[in-house]
Amino acid sequence: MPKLYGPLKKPRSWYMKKFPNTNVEGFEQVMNNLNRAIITIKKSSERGLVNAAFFIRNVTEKETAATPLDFGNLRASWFVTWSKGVAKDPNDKYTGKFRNNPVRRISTAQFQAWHQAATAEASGMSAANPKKATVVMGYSANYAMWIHEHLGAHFTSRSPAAGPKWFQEAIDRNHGKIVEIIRQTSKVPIK
Amino acid sequence: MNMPSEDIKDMLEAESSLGLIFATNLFIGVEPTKPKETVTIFDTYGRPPQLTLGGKEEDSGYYYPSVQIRVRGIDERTTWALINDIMLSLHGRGQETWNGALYTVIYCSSGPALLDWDDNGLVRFIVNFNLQRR
Repeated sequence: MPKLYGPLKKPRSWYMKKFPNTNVEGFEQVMNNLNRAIITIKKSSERGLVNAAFFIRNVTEKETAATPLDFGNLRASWFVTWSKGVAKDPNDKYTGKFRNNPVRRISTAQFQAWHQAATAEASGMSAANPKKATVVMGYSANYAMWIHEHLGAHFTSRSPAAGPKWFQEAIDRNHGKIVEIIRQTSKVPIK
Repeated sequence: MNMPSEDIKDMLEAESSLGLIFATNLFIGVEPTKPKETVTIFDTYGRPPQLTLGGKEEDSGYYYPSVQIRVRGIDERTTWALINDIMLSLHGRGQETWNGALYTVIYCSSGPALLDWDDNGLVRFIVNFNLQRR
């Protein structure tokens, strides 16, 4: 009959040495499997966050309030970063190219420079802590906040769909869906 | 039930230390060109309401509206001080009934932050609040 309590003469694992009275076997295997599952969840959670960011982007273009549109530079300045750098949505239909803005006198090169700087900073934030899944999404055009918070402004070229607070509204209204998208990729693989 | 901005207006007016009087230097929805120093409350998008946690049957539901308060002024420091006072007076309030609506919580969601310097050289700051009411 196997010994059910008390220290074994020859402990068979690290756990048995550390806790000699338990006689628990297979603990290391359980911990290894658990750690592997946690790593998988972290990786897939990050993927889920990226998918959620892509979803939010689509909502900001399809639903009211939509992203205000003039020359298309704000829309083009959208970005998502994760631990691997800039994440590109393969189904993205909205991101165009930067154009000269003669009204505000902002050149294409200036937009590109802002975009490069913003995505570099965001990529650094995403990659800063490898133990934590961090996804950054937003707009690199430096007037994005001004437009977003400018209540009472008239957005003539995409009226009446376009409006301030479009980004916040997309997140607030789709809170449940966003959680569901993240949940879908965060399952523990059962073997 | 009033517009949230209407109730927030009453809350700010009741706070005598802020020195805000409706239609004089406190406005709702539209920021007038005069006077130079104004406080304007805007209703903004909130989260979808719940069908549960409601009160009376004819007005059941639990709502998550939000408002933005914009303060315009001549001097950057005094304008910021005013918006900060507004933030402090509203942030964390709760369990208060205004015009028949029970506000369970009011909290600042962002700001105070600089919006811009407008065409007349006046500074504008904003602060956003999330509300919960039924």
